[in-house]
Amino acid sequence: MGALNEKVLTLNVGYEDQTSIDAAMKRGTWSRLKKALSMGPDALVEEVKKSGLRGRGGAGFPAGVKWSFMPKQPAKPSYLVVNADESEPGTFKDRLLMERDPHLCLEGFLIAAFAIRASAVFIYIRGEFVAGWKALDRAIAEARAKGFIGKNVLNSGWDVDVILHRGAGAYICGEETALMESLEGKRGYPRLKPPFPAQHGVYGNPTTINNVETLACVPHIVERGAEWFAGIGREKNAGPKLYCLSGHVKRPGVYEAELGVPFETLFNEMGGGLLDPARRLKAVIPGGSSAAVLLPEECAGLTMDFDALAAKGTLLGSAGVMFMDDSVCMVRACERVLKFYAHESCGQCTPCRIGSDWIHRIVARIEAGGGTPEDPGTLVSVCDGMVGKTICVFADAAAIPAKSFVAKFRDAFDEHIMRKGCPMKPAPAAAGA
Amino acid sequence: MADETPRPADTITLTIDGAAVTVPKGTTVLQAAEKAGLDVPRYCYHPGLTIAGNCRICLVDVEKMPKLVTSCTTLAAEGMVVRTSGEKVEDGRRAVMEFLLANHPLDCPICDQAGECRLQDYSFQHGSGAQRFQEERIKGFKQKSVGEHIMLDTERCIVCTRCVRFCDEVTRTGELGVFQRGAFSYIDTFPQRGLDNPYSGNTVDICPVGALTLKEFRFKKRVWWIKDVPSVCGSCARGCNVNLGTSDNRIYRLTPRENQSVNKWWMCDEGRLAIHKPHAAPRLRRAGALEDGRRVPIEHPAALDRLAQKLRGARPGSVGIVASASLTVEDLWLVRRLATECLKDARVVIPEVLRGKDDAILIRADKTPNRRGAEMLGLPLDAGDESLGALLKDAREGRLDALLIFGAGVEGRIKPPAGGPYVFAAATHAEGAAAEADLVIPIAAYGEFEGTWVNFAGHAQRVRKGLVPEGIALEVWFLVAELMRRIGIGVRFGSSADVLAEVVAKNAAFKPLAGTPGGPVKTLGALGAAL
Amino acid sequence: MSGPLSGSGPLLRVGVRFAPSTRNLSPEALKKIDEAIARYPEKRSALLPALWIAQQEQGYCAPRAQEQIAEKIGVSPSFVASVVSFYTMYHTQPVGRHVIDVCTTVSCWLRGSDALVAHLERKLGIRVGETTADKRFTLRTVECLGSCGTAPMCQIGDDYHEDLTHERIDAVLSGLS
Repeated sequence: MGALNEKVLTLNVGYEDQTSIDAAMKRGTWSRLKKALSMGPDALVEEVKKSGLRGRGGAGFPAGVKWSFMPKQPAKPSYLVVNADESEPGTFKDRLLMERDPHLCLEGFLIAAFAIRASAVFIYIRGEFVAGWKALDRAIAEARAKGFIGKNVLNSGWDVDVILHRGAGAYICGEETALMESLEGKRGYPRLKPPFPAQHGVYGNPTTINNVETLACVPHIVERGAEWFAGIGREKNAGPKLYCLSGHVKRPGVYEAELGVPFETLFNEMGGGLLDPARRLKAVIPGGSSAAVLLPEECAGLTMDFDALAAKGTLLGSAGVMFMDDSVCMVRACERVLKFYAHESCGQCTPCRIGSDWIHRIVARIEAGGGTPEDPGTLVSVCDGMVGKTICVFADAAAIPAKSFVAKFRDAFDEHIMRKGCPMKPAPAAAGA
Repeated sequence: MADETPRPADTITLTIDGAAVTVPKGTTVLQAAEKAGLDVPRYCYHPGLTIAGNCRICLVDVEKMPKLVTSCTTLAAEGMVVRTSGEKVEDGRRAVMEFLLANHPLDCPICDQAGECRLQDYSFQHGSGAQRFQEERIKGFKQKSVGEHIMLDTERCIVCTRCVRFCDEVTRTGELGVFQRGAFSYIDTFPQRGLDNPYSGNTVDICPVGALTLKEFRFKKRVWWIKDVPSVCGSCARGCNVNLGTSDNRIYRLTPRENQSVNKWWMCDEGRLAIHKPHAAPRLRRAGALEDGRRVPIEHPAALDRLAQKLRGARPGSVGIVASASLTVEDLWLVRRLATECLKDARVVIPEVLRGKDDAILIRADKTPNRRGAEMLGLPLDAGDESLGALLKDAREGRLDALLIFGAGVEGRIKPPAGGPYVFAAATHAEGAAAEADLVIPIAAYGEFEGTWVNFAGHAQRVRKGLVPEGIALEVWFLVAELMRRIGIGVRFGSSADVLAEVVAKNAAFKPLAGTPGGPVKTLGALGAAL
Repeated sequence: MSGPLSGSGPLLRVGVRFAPSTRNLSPEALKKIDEAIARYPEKRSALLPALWIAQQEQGYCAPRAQEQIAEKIGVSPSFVASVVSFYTMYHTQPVGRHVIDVCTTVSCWLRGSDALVAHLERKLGIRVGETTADKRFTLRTVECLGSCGTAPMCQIGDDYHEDLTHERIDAVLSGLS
C-alpha cells in the first residue's frame, strides 16, 4: 500500500495567485498540456488506463476505459463534458479545486479533450458555485489568450473550444445523462441507457463525461507517469484522493491522502477526531449521502477506497465523509437525508417520483411521533420497490441509505414508534405538528 | 413502420414465455410480445409517439440481465429469453402499481375514465389490493379547464407524458409541459394559455387515466353502456376511421380508430365534435308537402308517387339535381342512374364545400367525405359554385321545371326562388331548402346509414350505422331506387351491398374491390381498401 | 419549493405560481441572449443562460420574458415555463433584494442550521419562504451548497457566507441595504 507523502492535487491551492495564469505557469501548470499534445491521443488513453485512475465523481469507473469508448475517427464532433455539478451532500472537493487552482483543472480538461479527440469542452458548473464559475471564466480567457484554447492549440493542429455553462439548482443534473439534457436546455431528466454517451451524448454526438477531480489528476499522470500514480494507494484503487470531512469532526475540510487511507488516519490524524471529545462517535456516512451508513465498529480498520467500502455494503462515492456523534437522533438523521432525496427527485419515473417522497414521509412521521409498528417493514418494502426499477440510480441512492439506517438503528425506529415520539427530545414529542 | 414482409436477414428470433417469436430488427421486446399475442401492461408507451420509458409498468424479466428491464425500451435481440410473467415480474408490477396509486385520488365513482382505465385494469390484474400509503396525499388541480374542450385533473395524472409528447411531436404546438419536479410534478399549460390546437381531443384518448377528459363527454355516459360501432368520420375528405360510441340510440362520442393508411391513430377536434353540435332546425320525421304555404304530412309512398308524377311531366333538360358529396357511393350511383336513365338530360351538380386549408396532419379543406367517390362515378364536380350558380340562375329564370336536392349540407345554401320550379328535398333537418321545398322526404343522418365513401386519396371505406332513425328516414339509394321504379326503370336492390356490387361491376375505378369471395363489403372490411 | 415538510403537516399542494408580467426584456438583455445563443452548437442550450439573463434584469423569470425567450430559442412558452419550474434557482415571483438561502442538508444540520434558520426567522420577522415587508430579504432553506466543511452556512446572491454564528450572520445582514 503506497502512502501519499506529498501534496499533489492540493499542491498549489494555498497560493493566492494560483488563479492567475502566469503564476500558475511558473509553478508548472500548463507544461503538461504541451507534453500531452506530443504524446498523442492513443498514448494518453493508454497511460491513463495504466494509471488505474478511477472516476472521482461517485461511480469509480476507470477513466481510461471510459475514454477508450470514444470514436477514433469521429464522424461528428466529439465532446468532453466536465461534471462540475458537485451537489452530493458532504462533498466540496471540486469546489476547492475550481476556486483555488482553476488552471490545474483547465489543463486537465484540455488534456482529456485531446485524448478523446474532442472538439469542444463543456464545463457544467452548478449555478450556486459563483466563485468557481468566475475563477474558471477568468482562467479560460487567460488560457485562450495564451493559445491553450482555440484553433491549432500550440501548433498541434488540434482545434478546441471551451464553453462554461451554469446550472440552476438541481442535484439530479450531476447524473451524467441528466447533465446532458440540462446542457441541451431541457429539464434535467436522466436518459435511457443504452445508448451510452460515447455513442449518443450531447446533441447526439460522442461524449465523455468526467468529474473535476478525476480530470485534475490527469496532468499529474502525464507529468509523472502512470506507474507513479498506480503506486499510490493499492491495487485497483490508485492515486491521490481528496476526502471531504464534515459533521461532528474537529477539523472539517478537504484532505488529500492516498486512495485507501485508513479510516483512523483520516478521522483522527487529519480530522482531529470528534468535534466534542466528551461524546461518542455514533455513525459515519463514508461517501456522500447516497452511501449506506456505517456503525463505528464497521469503520475500524477500514481503508477508505472503492473496493473496501463496496465490500462493506456501502460506497466511497464522492468521498464526502460525514461524522455523527451520539447527540444525533438517527431517525432524525435519516429523515434529513431522505428529505434531500424527496426534494431532488426529478420525478420522471414512477418508483422514484412517488417512492422518494413516500419514504421521507414515513420517516418524518415516525420522527414526529406518528409511527406505527408496520412502518419499518413498509419502509423497507417500499425501498425494495424502488431499487433496480428506475431509469437512473437516484432511487437506489435514496433507498439504500434508508434501508441502512433502519437495519443498523432499528432500535431507534422502534423506540420512536413505541413512545410516539423521539426518545432523545427533552420531553416526548407530541404526535403530529 | 413499413408493411413489407421482412427478408430473413433483417429479422431476429427470441423466446417470450417459452414461445419463439420472429420480428424485424429494431423491434422492442414489448412490440415483439404484442406480436406473440401477449399484452404487456403499459402507460407511457404509445406506438404513435416517441418512447419515454418512464412509467415502468412494462417491466419484464430477461435472462442474464440482473434487473428487470422495461420492455418498451429494450430492443429484441437474437436468442433473448424473456419472461413477461412469473413472480419476479409480478413483484415489479405490484411495486409500480402501488406507487401509482399512492397519491391517486379515489375518483372512480366520478371519473369518466372508469371502465376504460388502465389504472383500474392493471390494479385489478397486477396490484396488491391493499393500500399501505398512509401519508397525506399531495393535492393538485381538479377540474382545471385547459382549453375549449379539455378538462385537466392533475391529481389523477400519472405523468406518463403521453399528452406532452403528442403536442410536441404530432401537432408540434407544445402547449403542455411538466412543471416542478419530484412528487410535485404536474402537467399544465403556460399561464393564461390553453391547449388549443385543432387536435386537442386526442390527448383525452391517449391519456391512460382520467386526468384529461373531454368537456363534451364529461359525465354524459358510463363507457360500459357504450357500444362502439366502427365507422368513418364524415366531416372532411380525410375520412378518419372512428368508433361511434352509441347508447340509447344516440352517439355519445366519436373516438378515432387506428388506420395506418388514413389517419394513423388520430382525428381532429372538428370531426370529433361534429356530433355534439346541435342543429338549429328540428329533425324531419315525416314526408311533407307544401300546400297553401303550410307543411302537410303525407306518407312517403304517396310522396314518391307525387314526385314521380311531377318528373314525368317535366320538359327534357329541365330537371336539375343537386347532390351532396356527403352522400355515399351507393347513393350517388343511383342518383346518376336516375339522371341519365330516367330523366333525359337532367343536370347534376355536386357542390363544393371548402373551408380553410389542408393542414399537414389530417384536416382537409374539402369538408365532404365522398367528393372523390363522386368523381370516380363520373359525376361532374362543381368548383367555386360555378355550376351551382348557373343552375340556380336557370331556376330563377324559369328554365327549370324541377329541382331535386339530395343530401345533407347543401340545403342551407340553396334558396328556392318563389314561383319557380317544383323543389324536392331529401334532407335530415327542416333547414334551408328543406324548410321551403314543395316536397320533403326525410333521409337517414350520420350513424343511421350504411355505405361507402372514398376519401381524397382514393381510399374507399365503409361508413356504418349504429342508430335507428327517428321517424321515417330512408337511405338515399333506397329512396332513389323507389323513385326510379315509379318512373319506369325496374330496379330492385335488397341492401346497399347489392348497390355496391353493381357499382363495382359497372365502374372501372372500383375494380380493385372486385373478385374477392364475400364481396366488396368484405373487401373493405374495417380498414377500407385503396382504389 | 423550500419549506418544512413534517409528517402530518399542512396540506401538500402542487402548483407553481408565476407572478404575471407584461414587461419586455431590454434590448441589451435580448442582445446578451443572442450572444449566448451564438456560443452553442444548438440554440436550445442557451435556454438556461437566457433565463439567468432575464432573472438578472427583472429579478425573476417573468412570463413575458419567458415568451420572448421562447421565441428566440425556438421552443414553446410552455417548454420554457416547465424548465423554469424545474430548477430551484430560478424565481417565479419577485423576491427581496437579497435572497438568503440557508443550507439545511445533513452536514449543515449537524452543525446547527436548524437554530440558524430559527434565529433568522425571529430576526427578520418572517417564515421560511417569505419576504420582509420592506422587500429587503427573502428567506429560503436549500439543499447542500457544497460547503459542508464550513457549516453552517448560507448563500446570499453570489456570495457564500460560511462558518456562521448568529453574530456573524447578523453582521452580514446589517451590511446589506
